[in-house]
Amino acid sequence: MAEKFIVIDTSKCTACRGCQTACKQWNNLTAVATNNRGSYENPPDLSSSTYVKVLFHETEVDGEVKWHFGQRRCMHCADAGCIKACPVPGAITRDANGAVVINQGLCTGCKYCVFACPFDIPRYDSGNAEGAGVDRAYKCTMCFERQSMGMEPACTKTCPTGALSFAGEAKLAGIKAGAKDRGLEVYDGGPLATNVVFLLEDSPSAYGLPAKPAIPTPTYLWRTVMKPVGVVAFFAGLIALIAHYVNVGPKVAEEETGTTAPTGEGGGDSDVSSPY
Amino acid sequence: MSHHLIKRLSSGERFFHWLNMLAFIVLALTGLGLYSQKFFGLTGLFGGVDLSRAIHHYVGLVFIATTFIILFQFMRDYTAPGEDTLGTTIKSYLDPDFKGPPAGKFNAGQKLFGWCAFLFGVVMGITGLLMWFPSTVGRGLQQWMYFLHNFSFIVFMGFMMIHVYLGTVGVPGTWSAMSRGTVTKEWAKKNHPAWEGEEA
Repeated sequence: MAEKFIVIDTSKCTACRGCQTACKQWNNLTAVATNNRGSYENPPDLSSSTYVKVLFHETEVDGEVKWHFGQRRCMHCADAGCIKACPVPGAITRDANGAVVINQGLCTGCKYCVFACPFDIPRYDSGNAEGAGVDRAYKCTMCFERQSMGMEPACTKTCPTGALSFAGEAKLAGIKAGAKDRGLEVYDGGPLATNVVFLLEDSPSAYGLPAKPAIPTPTYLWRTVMKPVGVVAFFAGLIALIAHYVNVGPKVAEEETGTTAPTGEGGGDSDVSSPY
Repeated sequence: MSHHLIKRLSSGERFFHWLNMLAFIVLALTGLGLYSQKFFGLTGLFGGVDLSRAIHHYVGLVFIATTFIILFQFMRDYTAPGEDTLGTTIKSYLDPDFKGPPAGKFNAGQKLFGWCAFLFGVVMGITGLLMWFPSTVGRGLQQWMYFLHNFSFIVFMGFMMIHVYLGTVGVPGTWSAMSRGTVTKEWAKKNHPAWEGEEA
């Protein structure tokens, strides 16, 4: 299968939150009781029962209210920080369609992915059935199981305004070209090559997106740099110690060599044969 | 033979060193299993990944506690003045003929090792606790905790390899300090001439 993309055209979003609801319905996620926090945004954050959340970014321009309707959701990176960070084989995978999926049955709740995500998306929770009292990480699955049955994700299926659409590579190219004509910025995660593509009316920061998305520097150092450094350092150290033992030899106290062997003047290889 | 022996480590010092060592071995094995998919098989040694993590957490507490206890036990020796320097210590290990200034109970290398073992041990402890309870500091700081835990382990492990080598085959006669608490007079004269130990 070729790669698939979820395209979010912010110019068409009316913040109806149909996608939020369809997501909960398909994934069997419960609603959460929340309090009024002075914003239309609800629930307050992504969680184990909210994989998609519509953002209401409110600004005042020339005395008039200006809305930016964005989304918080997994961007399904080709170069995914969560996969780099995950220590459990198979717990987070990226399929041929480009869907990055956490398998809660394998997830062990280490939370590495939560902090490795360039977009701050995965949330951990012990409340869900899979967790059974133990933390597990949760996020959008790009409805990979619907895709495997030839269906599009629940969110794009339900969107009434066409703000959300599901596209293959050819269709995406057309959408991107059309977006440029309409003066929209194409946001596709830059070097991360995300399978969720935003068409933005304003700067990325107005939609809560990082201007220059990248795997966090400490995560990169931790997962990509330190792994080979650690392995090389270990074997270099081992070789150095063996080389020391063979060439310089152990530091033997006088008693052991005592009256029978010369006391140290030999140095070098002769020490190796001395008993200890 | 006993008149040849000098007391090097008290039973209390040995007890906490053994505890610290065993804790570190368990932590290193469970930690590697929890770090990378390449080492994931190691979690099988400890009854699976969930048990590995629980063991890593609680044995980590033992490691932190013994790391501090050991510092308090040896603080005076780590700060004791000595004529030898790190340079002369390293030279004495690399060149069998080199006769440098005499070392006290601990030579300059051992003092540095003691401080570094404490420092990187504590860094692993603090970062480890924050990995256990990751919602304590902000997201940006938390990301560095994972890296620092990993980095400190590599540095600590490097010091440990040298420590284990010099404590066993590298300097014959040293291991008995760890096992029985005693060393021979000849060993002390060769390795720590400026140290006046008590006869055992």
